[in-house]
This record gives sequence, structure tokens and C-alpha cells, in this order.
Amino acid sequence: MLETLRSMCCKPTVDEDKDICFDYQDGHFVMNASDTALLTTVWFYLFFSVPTEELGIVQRVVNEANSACSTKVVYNVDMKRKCIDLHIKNEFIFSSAIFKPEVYVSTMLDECLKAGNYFVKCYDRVKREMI
Amino acid sequence: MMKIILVILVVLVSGLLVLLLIEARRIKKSTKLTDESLKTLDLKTEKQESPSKCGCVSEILLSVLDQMGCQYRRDEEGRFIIKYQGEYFKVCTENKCLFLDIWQASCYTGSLDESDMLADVINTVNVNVYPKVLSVITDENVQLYIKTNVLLSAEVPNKELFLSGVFKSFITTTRYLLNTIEEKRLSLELNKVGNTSNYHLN
Repeated sequence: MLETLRSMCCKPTVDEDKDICFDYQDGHFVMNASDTALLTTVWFYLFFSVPTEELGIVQRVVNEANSACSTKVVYNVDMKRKCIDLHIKNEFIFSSAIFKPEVYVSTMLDECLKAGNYFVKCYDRVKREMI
Repeated sequence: MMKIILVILVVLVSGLLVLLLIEARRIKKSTKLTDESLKTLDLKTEKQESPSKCGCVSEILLSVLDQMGCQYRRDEEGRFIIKYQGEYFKVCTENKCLFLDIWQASCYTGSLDESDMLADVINTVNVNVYPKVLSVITDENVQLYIKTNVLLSAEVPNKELFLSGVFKSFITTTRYLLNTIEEKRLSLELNKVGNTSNYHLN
């Protein structure tokens, strides 16, 4: 995976938890990949934040985004900051045998960015509908 | 006079023979072309068939299901209905796409009053599991579904093991989802009881 990310010019680093951290396009990604596991998990943390009062809208839009996109949008409520942080999780099969792995991995990362954009668009639409 | 007529006849006959020869050659050539084009058509047919023989996601899926010993059928829209460990899964494939969409029919139906609690539970489950849980709110109830999409190309190693792992993850997700709903319901009830007793104590 590290080789694939390097060939995509992503400059990956490995943190103390052995997670791979790198920037891709506009986002910072954290990836959990191992040589033994077939599935790789990639997180696109904190792509959006909204006030806690909008939990109902967030829940509705998260479900809509999860139905439409191949990735998962999840959230956590931060009571100290009084906001809801949104994250994207994508789990995909990865093996060195895969044809053109850099194209495949970049597609998986693009899916995360697409889901983020989709969520923000839906959120804006729902907010406009409520006014 | 007779000689002239004879010469004219000879010229006419030889001309006719030449014309016949040319026509015969043309017919022979066109027949040859038709044979060649037929051969080309055959090759094209073979070329068109070859990707579906080894690369089509539906065919890979069918061979994996056969190796896994799974029962399956196709519905009127061409989707696969697969039975794995007593559970039914719906699998959608597209010829040019290497990904499969796997669905499990409604795994939980709750009342509309539970929709906020269920949204909270879905988020918790989605953070921790591989497939994703979705909700559909109707006029009468809230239904929960499980969905995922997976790559199934020829290069994927241990395809049977991988696909059975995916199906098993649906089963464990359902179990985890139902347990989380139960826990959440219990904690809400305990909170209610706590609030009531506090009210009485006050």
C-alpha cells in the first residue's frame, strides 16, 4: 500500500499506531492497512462540522448520503465544542495482485471526497428547504 | 462474304467468352471475399464472447457461488437472490462494473417513535462494522437494511473466502445491530425510571 501511495505522489507517513497518514487532493486521510488483512480501512476525518442543534438534519442527510454513495458517512457529537463532527469511512479489498493498484486506490479515495461533497450539497439543500 | 460473317461470329463468340471469363473471375473473387468476411465475423464473435467468458462480474460471481455451494436464483430484473446460512441476500451486478451491490432485506422494523433512537444506533453500528446500515422511514414504521459494495474481479485472491466473509459480516452486523438497539432501549428506559424516581424523591 505504501508503494502504491508513493506512486500516487501522496507522501505517506506511518504514525505510532501503525496507521498510514497522507494527504490526497483536499483531504487528510488515515489508513489502516496490513499485509495479513484483505480489507483496508481509510478514514477521511472531520470533513465537515455543524452545530449540535442540527442533529436531526445530520441524521437525515447521513442516511441519504449512505444510500447514494459507496462509502459510509458517520458522525460524533462533541458536547464540549457543541458541534457534530462528520467523517467518512471506506473499507475496500486490497491486494498487490490488483490490476493498476494506484488507479484503484485513487478511485477509493475519490469516493470519500465525492461522499463529502454529496453530504455538504444535501445538507445545504435540506437547510434551504427548512427556511 | 461468308468469310466476313465467319470472322464477325468468331470475334463475337471470343468476346462473349472473354466476358464470361471476367464474370466468372468476379463471382469467384466475391465468393472468396464473403468467405473471408465470414471468417472475420467469426473472429469478432469469438472476441466479443471472450471477455464474458473470463471477466464478467456475473460469471465470476456464479463460479464463486458454485464453489461455495450456495443456492441462488435470478429475479425478473436479473438480480441474484442468494441464500447463505439461511439468510437471503440480494446481489446486483452490472456488466461493465467490477463491483457488486449486496443488500439484505429489512433486518429490523421499528415504530416511528423510535426513529431518533434508531438513527443514533445506526451511526454507532456504522462506525464499527464493515457493511452499512440504512433506514427507510415510511408512514407506518422505520425499516433498517444492510448494504455494501465489493470488488469482485479476477485478481481478487481467495474469492470464496472473501465473499463468504462478506456474507458473514452481514449476519454479525444484524446481531450487533439488534443488541445495540436492545441496549439503547434499556438505557432509555432506565433513564426514564431514574428521572421518575428522582421526581418522586424531590
